[in-house]
Amino acid sequence: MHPVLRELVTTSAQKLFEHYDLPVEVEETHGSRALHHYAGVLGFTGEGIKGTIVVSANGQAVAATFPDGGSQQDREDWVGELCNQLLGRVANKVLAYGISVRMSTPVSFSGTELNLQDQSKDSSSASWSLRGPGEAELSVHLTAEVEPHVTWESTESAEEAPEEGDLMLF
Amino acid sequence: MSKKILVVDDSNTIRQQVGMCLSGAGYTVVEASDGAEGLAAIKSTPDLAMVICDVNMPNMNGIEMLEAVQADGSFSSPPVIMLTTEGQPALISRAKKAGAKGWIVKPFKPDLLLAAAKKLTAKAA
Repeated sequence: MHPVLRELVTTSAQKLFEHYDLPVEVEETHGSRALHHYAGVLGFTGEGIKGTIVVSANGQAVAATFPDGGSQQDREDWVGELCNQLLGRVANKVLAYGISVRMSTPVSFSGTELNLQDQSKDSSSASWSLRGPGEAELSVHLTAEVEPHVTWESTESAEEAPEEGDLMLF
Repeated sequence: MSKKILVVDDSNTIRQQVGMCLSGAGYTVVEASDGAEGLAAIKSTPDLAMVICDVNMPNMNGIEMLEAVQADGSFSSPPVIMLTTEGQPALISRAKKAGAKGWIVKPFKPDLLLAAAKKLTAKAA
């Protein structure tokens, strides 16, 4: 996976959880692809790029970012939404490299002893562990198949997305 | 009587968060979980003061909903603001052309959402 994309995922995850007052230490992991109890997945496609992203979170991370509690279904839905917001943030940043990505709607689920296939030898996949205060933990798993013509060079003519949270009135 | 705002999003938790923010400020909130439900709600609820709408949703997305409202012409649409993870200028431009009055990239800041609601519902009875 190209270093630019790895860096975008790392910084996007940090910024996203900062918004929810959950400062996280983000570390790329190799080998283990274990998921926490709650998980969400999205697919994406664009000119020269396609892939999936999986975000998983334990109960403490869900409670820290969605403090109103809610049902099991709400907690699953919320992790799907976090997955959506993380991919959205990355998608808006890759616009600067001339890459426009279309995203699916999230699918979320929960379970125990969930593991993704070990793809540590696959250069199109990468995983990150996110640790917050207390016992809050999340993981991010990205698979992005990128065609050779994608150069990851930013261009002055590239489009820019508005900043997350900003209000634009027309 | 409090002003009524329709929140259209396929995420129940987002509808809850937006709803709590708005109801805490005195608005009445009604919900729809996709663009098709949102379109039906707009048609059947003439006293809506505003709509807050996601883009990527099943069945009918938020921009398609806006375009359907615009194409119908048999009823007047309340102001619509898009609340989405999407930030592509082409999508923003399409929404604006279809009549959207604003755009917020998620995650939202409650104070800015309320500022938009106050401004856009000012003309509502």
